Amino acid sequence: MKITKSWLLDHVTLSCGIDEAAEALSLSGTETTVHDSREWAKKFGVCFVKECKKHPNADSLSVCKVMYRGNEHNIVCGADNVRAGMKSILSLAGISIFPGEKAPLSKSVIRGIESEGMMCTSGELCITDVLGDTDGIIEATHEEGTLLFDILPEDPLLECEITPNRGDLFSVRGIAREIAALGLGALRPLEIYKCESIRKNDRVINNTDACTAFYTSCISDVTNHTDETVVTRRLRSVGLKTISALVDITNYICHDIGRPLHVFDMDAIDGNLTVRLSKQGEIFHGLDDNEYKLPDGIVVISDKKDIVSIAGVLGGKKGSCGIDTKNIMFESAMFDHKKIAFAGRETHILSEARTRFERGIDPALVAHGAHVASKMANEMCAGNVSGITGFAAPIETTHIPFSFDSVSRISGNKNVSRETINARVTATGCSVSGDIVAAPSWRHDLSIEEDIVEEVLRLGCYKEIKPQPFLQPIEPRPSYISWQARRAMVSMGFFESVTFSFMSEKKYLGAPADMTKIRNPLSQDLSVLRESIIPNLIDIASYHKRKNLRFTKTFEIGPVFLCAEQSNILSAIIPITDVSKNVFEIKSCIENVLCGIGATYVFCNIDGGKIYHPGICGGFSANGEVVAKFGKLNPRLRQIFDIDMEFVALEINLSRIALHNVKNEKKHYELPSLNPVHKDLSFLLPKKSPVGEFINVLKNGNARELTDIRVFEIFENEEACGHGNKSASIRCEFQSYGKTFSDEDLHALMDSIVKKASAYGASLRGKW
Amino acid sequence: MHLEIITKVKNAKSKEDLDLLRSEIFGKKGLVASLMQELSAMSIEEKKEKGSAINALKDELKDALNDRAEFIENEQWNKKLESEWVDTSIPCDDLGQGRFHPIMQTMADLIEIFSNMGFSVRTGPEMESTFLNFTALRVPEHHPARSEQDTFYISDDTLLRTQTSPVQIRTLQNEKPPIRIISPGRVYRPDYLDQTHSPMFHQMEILAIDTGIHMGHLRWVLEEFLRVFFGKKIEIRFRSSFFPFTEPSAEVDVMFNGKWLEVLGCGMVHPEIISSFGIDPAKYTGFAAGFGIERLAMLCYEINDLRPFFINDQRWLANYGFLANRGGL
Repeated sequence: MKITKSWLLDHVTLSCGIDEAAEALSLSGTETTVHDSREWAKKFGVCFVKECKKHPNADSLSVCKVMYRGNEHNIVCGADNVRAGMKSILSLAGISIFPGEKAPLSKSVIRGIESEGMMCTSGELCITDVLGDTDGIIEATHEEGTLLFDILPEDPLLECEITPNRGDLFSVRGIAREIAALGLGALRPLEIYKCESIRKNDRVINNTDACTAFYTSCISDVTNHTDETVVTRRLRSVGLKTISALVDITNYICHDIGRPLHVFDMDAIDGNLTVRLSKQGEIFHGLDDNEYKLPDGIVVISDKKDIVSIAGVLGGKKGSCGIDTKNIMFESAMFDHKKIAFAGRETHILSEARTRFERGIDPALVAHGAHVASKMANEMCAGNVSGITGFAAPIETTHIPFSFDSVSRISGNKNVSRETINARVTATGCSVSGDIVAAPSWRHDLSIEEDIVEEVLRLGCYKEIKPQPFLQPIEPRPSYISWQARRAMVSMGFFESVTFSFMSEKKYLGAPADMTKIRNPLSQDLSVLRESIIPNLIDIASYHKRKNLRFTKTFEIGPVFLCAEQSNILSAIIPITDVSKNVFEIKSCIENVLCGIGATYVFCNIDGGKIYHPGICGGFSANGEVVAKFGKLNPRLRQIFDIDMEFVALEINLSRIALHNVKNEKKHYELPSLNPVHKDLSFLLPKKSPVGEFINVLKNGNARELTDIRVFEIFENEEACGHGNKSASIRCEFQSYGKTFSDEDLHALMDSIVKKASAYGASLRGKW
Repeated sequence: MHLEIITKVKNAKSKEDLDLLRSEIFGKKGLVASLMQELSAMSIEEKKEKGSAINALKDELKDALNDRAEFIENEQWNKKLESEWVDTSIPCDDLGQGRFHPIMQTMADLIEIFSNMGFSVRTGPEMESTFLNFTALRVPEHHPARSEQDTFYISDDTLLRTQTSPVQIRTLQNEKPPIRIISPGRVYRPDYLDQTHSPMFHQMEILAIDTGIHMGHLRWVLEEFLRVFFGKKIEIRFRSSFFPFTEPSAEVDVMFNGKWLEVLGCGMVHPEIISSFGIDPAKYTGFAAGFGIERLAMLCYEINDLRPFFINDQRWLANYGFLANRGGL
């Protein structure tokens, strides 16, 4: 919403500077910035024409030597009034002509003579409203060197951002009212046209509840024109287009008091006008030259044959006013704001009228709008006014119970006096009677006590809210599994990443049936919710590779989505340098994380799926559920990701682990007084037999004295192990309690291990 | 003669040489033994005189032998240690240290600050119902925030949450006042990634509901949290604003390098929301506030571009990320 200061002053006398008013508007909820509307004019200035000769190659052109700010410029000029000794406004090459658009003026050679710029007409600079339409170039009277900025009258431009609840601020009047309520000026009275006992308009039939008021005023024999007037100048100054006097009047009133209007060319209308709801498939030709196919239920105005307007949104091509229009009718009506919002959404039309109707307009100004329009039209375009006709449902006033104590209850400040509260509530246009506040007709956003308290506090710019300590007994800080996992990963040297929760469908590795698609994705690269973080981590590696950067191990903790179910997953990748080492590095990472969390887990075999190499992968389970996976990434993924690198990766489902009896209790332990004894044993096993499982078998149900078994060597050698076998050497740690082991004791312990091994299918290699 | 042997000791090259000299001096047929023998033939006066001279000589020789032995041992050690020289000036290739992402570190810092003020963390799903993300928060059916330009939809009634407010609603569904919670997490809006926008970012919201809570408490909590987070007193101001779920509503600006910057939105929880959970709004009031975590991180660490937060360039992370000993929660 843009407003010039001069326009604003029509409605309010300011008691402060414009910057102060803008600051107060901002603090009270309407972010407002002030621009100097003449800023562009700093690039132009008054020049002196020192010499003026006929162009040798063109009769209509002159070649001038022009002085500007100490420099002499060569300018080729086509104006009739150019002559030596005059002063004009110079635009040098490299400067864009107002307003902003177009390419900057460049040095050019005109009929063989170089021109370094141009001298301007008022039309070229779009300042005919200030200097009038100069026939030729501007005849300046100011001293050479004066900037155009200093010649133009000052008129600051306010740009206000209106919050969606404040439809009443979408007008110069509304902003003026707000400034007055803030105590920064006096609102000028607005005499509102009162419409008592108005007769019906026989040419308008209302067939819908969505229209609650409809006034018209007709003028015959008008003369439409495109003359320069206060109306056109003001509309342009706030960035609105001007069309013709009659249309400009409706836009002017809309901007001035927030009352949208429409003007019909009655000679183009067939028969009566009907306000009704549209039917599926009806066609509407808009003023914007677009054709709209309407759904059911849009409020429209139609004549005998066609829809001539979408109510409160856009007028139609048919019935619109042109320069030759003679007989007109202004329409000023009230429509249900929800219906207008619906129409706007369905047709995607953005208009000044829609913006205001959607947010709610003042029902007290319906007849006034029609009245002012016909009055202005009569003044500007002559014709015979035939008076206001129409109808309106009575206006309902909102009554809000309000207690003065609510201000201190909500603000925490007991020192806001009753007088202050009363003054501020009244300043918003509300009337107070006892403990009931009546909202003014233009404030649709006031409905409960808290709304009134907000008015009181915001008109004080919230300065009455003083900090007050807010303390309460503190709960013991909970322990967050994600943070434990995150700490473990960072301490193991991983870089944490944060990537998007969505990705390209092409990189989706899960089952298509589980895929969750975004209905309105930003692009195909971000079209499905991820079911694994690994593709995103590979993308980070690709990025580093592409840029020729070192890439080191990385992880992310974040959501993945499977069949609409969200899980919190830790994923990590390590670029492979030596796969046999890296795979155990990543495995130990999982154990470090799980161990740190306090989870109980066991190794398990997994199906590598699309992600992992089927022969180089594994997992961990808790209570039989797989909660973590690791392995080398399936080399076939390289086709999808187009990257010349290999990785080992891990995934830990932190959401599931949290459900499996995570505890951080310490088991009881006492230091033994005797030293442990170590014994080494070697076994022969079939090549593909899992050593992890073998060790678990040996450990399982063993004597208290066997405290540890570690694998220290595995090798495959036909000569030493025989065909299809491998050798696994283990070191057993035995701990005695109370007395030292005798040879028999140790013998018995090792014997039981060898027996378990042979039951598993492993034979002792050599002796012990 | 004595001088000669002392010189020999002082020039001994090895432990073996010293052992030989030691037996030459103190052995059965050694120097000292022969002197003692000479002594036995002497008179008592002579014995007294010579005897103390011999003892002095013995001490001198012993010291010389020990000194030399120590010297030789030192020499040997020095030689060995020198041969083990390693060039420690070679720069370390990689410190092997990981990094916490600055978003996560900022979140950790905020959780810690609010934990100390008695707030606990609540989380919720990111794929959320339209009802909890909008309707329960009084966002009208035709509000532009609900449009496909402003929200990612999975279906008509499922979306990617645009704020963490649904967590507040979930909390109100399950808990009774006094309530003091924060809800950090990912949120989504259909904006292309640029210097100030991202389709995904992180937010934290605060909710407190209890008897007698007013805007002064809200202001104190915000001032305290900003003071601790930025490590210095930060001047703030409330600016009136509009949110469907709070009444009154305010935007909070902080003074940063001489300019007011908008950092968060807040207000008193709308009484209709409070009463919709069976809580009496005449007895209980509450405040809520919400802010972007990246925005605070950018202000705190003077980062002027949002994009690198999601590019994960490890040079950037090495600079803006946090080491294990400094970071974490």
